[in-house]
Amino acid sequence: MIPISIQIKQALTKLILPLLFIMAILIMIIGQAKPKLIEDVRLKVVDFLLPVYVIVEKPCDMLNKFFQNFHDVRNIMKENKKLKHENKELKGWYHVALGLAEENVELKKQLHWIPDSRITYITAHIVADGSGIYHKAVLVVLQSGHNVHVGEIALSGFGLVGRVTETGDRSARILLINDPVSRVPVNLTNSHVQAIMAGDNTSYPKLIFYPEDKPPIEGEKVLTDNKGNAFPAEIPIGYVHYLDPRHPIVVPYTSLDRLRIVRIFNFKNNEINPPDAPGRINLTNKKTKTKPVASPALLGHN
Amino acid sequence: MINKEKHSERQIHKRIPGIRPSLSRFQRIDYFIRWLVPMGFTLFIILFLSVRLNIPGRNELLLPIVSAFVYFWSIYRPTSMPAIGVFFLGLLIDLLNFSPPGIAIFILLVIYGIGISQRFRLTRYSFLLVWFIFSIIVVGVFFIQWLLISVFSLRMFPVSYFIFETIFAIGLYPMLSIIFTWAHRTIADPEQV
Repeated sequence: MIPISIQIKQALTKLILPLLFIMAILIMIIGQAKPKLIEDVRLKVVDFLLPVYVIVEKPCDMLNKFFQNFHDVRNIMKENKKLKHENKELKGWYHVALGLAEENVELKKQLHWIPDSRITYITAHIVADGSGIYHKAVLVVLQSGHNVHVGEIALSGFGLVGRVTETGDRSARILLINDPVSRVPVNLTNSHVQAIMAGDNTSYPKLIFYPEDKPPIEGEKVLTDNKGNAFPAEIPIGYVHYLDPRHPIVVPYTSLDRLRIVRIFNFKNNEINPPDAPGRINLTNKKTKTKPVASPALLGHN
Repeated sequence: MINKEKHSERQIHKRIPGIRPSLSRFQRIDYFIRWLVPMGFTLFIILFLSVRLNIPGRNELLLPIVSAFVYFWSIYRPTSMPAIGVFFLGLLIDLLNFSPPGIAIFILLVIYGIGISQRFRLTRYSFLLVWFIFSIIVVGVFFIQWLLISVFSLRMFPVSYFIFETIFAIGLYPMLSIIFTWAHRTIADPEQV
């Protein structure tokens, strides 16, 4: 212990609060100037806390399941009737699908079809909520040495939910599609128009930038578009709904508030790079233009 | 009867200064845990609310609850809520919530500063007045948060979030303060060792 006089001790205790204020402001400035540094610290903390999250989450999950079971038992009769009916219908569809699959294989064989390369994905458990009051994100737990990169996309069982924005050693953060900064190019299936789906911190992202004369149709399917190569095309997201006549929104197929498991797809691996000079055929007998088009020599005004 | 006598004896014991036998090891641990209750519980709340459970308004709840914690304990038992601790609580909130860093630290320190500098005045006031002052602080502080986040992300966020947070904070404070007052007298009181 360093011997300090009482006066200095008192002065130090008075100084500590202003000092901490300055530190807080410094952290704010660092966060703006060097966001990468803060992200690294963040993911370190999250990685460190992951076991705690898993421990806390387990009993809550069990409790959730218990209540779900209780609910299921109560509705068992109704559910059974519905399922039987559905099963009958699905059996019909199953035979249709089998037939179609066979036919598809046959047709592809005749066409020398080049099969799509297989897409790899991993399935991850959501353990923590990385969102605050002004943004929406989730944290997933991964194994160390994972192969998840920033920019990969996360799907639930039914459709798109978000994109990976940061990866740590054992965790990754997924920005959900309803975050205020999320912008996803989308395709609407019935009206055949393109639009942007913009998150606004509510559960339902809104649609913007659709053509004025062709507004989205209530209930139509919303798929991703590969504009800008951010997303692969044709991934289902949800359907269009109008909260009021002027504001179309997208209702995602999975509720974004109740996500538990996501699949992270690696689409970047089989990204298609177009060859150089798209759409131009090099004709050997044609004079190559080396001069600017508007030069008088080329236009014949010598 | 005996219990009552013991209790009153202890009360007297507490008030009168004098020489007492030094604490045994277990008593020291007990003392430490009691001292740790406010901070530990705040930490628990922060971790608990960052787990993805289906709690409605989870994001809006975190800062209001923590600010109530900091306000109450900085007034009534500042030794259990040191400034550095408040700083780290704020840092943890900022890191776990992926918000622009530093803002939660700043907010909590403002509340702490007001609480600690005015504590001798505030402890003499009635509960209603303390609550009223808390409400005013909270309005100011959450407005600063909204402003800073809007400035840092270069876009205007809806004012509704700020209003939500403020209402939560003001509405939760009486309930929380009942629990705090109870804890202050019982489990979180190091003098009871």
